[in-house]
Amino acid sequence: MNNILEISHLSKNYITETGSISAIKDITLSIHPGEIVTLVGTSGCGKSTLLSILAGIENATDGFYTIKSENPVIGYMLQTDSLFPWLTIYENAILGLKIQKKDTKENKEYVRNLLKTYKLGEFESKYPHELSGGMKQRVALIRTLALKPDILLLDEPFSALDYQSRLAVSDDVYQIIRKEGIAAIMVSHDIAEAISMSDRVVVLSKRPCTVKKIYPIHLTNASTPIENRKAPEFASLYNQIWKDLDINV
Amino acid sequence: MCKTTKELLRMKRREKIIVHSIQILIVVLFFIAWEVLADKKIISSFLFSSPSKVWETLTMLVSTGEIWRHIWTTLYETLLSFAIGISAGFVIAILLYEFPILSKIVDPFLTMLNSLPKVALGPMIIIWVGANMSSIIVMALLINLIISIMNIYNGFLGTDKNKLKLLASFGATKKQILWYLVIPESKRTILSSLKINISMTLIGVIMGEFLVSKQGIGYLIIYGTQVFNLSLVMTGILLLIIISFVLYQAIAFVEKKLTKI
Repeated sequence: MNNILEISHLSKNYITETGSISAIKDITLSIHPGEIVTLVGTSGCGKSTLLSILAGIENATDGFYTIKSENPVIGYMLQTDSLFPWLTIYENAILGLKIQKKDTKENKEYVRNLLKTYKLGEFESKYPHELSGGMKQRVALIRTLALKPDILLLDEPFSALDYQSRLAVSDDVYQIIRKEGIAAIMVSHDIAEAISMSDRVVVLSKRPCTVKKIYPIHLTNASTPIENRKAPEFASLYNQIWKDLDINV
Repeated sequence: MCKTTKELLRMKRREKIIVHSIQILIVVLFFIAWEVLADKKIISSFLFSSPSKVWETLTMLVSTGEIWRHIWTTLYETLLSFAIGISAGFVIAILLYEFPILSKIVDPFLTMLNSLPKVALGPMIIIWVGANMSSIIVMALLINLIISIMNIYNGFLGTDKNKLKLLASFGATKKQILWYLVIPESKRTILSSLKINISMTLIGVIMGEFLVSKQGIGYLIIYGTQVFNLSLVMTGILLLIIISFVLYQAIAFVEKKLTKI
């Protein structure tokens, strides 16, 4: 299969006054087109760092990654919606396009359609504070999709939401990603969320962060994330991953 | 609206009326006491003046039309220094934000300048700049500029890290980050720093007028002291209170208008 993203022996060291800290060590991973892969790991391990490197915000110390596309575009979605309160929903959604000077008539129309498709059409000229947390997160995703990314990076995109909206929004986001058919790498510390949303779950070790184990997820009657939690395999997968994470409280 | 809400609103309104009436009462009582004490010769009206004398001075200044010249001078100097201070402070804050090494270099100097009583530089400014309005503007700038720079720069530093990360992931340039995020997000901080700034500017202008001037409220006060006309001094102070109050309220009004999304 042709992979959309190949990560090869990626490492990252942070140099401080007291010495060098290894955050990520020798990560090799491939992502297939249209696949959702979730990275789980204890907090403080370098999972967010890995996304930052892929997003081009930080540089890797060693190793490399390649995106199989002529003009690779990466969509990055953060923990908070990070909408600009002084811009309307529509202006927020086209922010990335404006910054990359791709705000052509065609692309703007595309964003308008995305907003309409994902039930935000009538909120176009409203401001973020007038929307619910889940809706804001949807706008943040559309802002990312507006750039037509080859791959989406989601950095704990639901962690700022309360539990109930978290379930609903993860359902929403899941369906949007599936519908647009974009490959996604998600970072999460929520094992249930990882199993219910992904095609594969990658368990990362504690610092320095390495790939410990990869679980392909094949659930019986797979459908939406909320429904997936009812699958018979769910509990045993949960237990295995929990053991792998080796969390000592 | 239910009954209890109405009740609550009425209570709030009543409280507001009570607070305002007491405030007015305090001012009125103050003036009455001042007048009576001066009239009964309990305090010397030569040293402390009296409301009636202040009124006399005020009407005299108005009738000769001289008052407008003084008010206008002080107002002009204040608004000019304010405008220069804010604009220069804004530009310098941007430079400090864009070049962190620069901010590291000037940081101790800014702190030192900020804690230095600027009035100490007054005599030197007169010698260097000359005994004219420019000296007053420089004096006011010395006082308001450092505060402007520090306030605006700190506002810039408070920019949300997540939003910065987002723009970085879009591959935004430094200039874009500044215009799309840093400046709009610090709008509130900048606007609220204007209120402090206008008060600082007025302090600087009056200090400048004390040192060198032929007109202005500061001149009225210092002239009144020199000729021992305490009524003129009191009138000047009264005018100053009114001017600073009006300026502050004007800025607060503008701030309120602009911070509304």
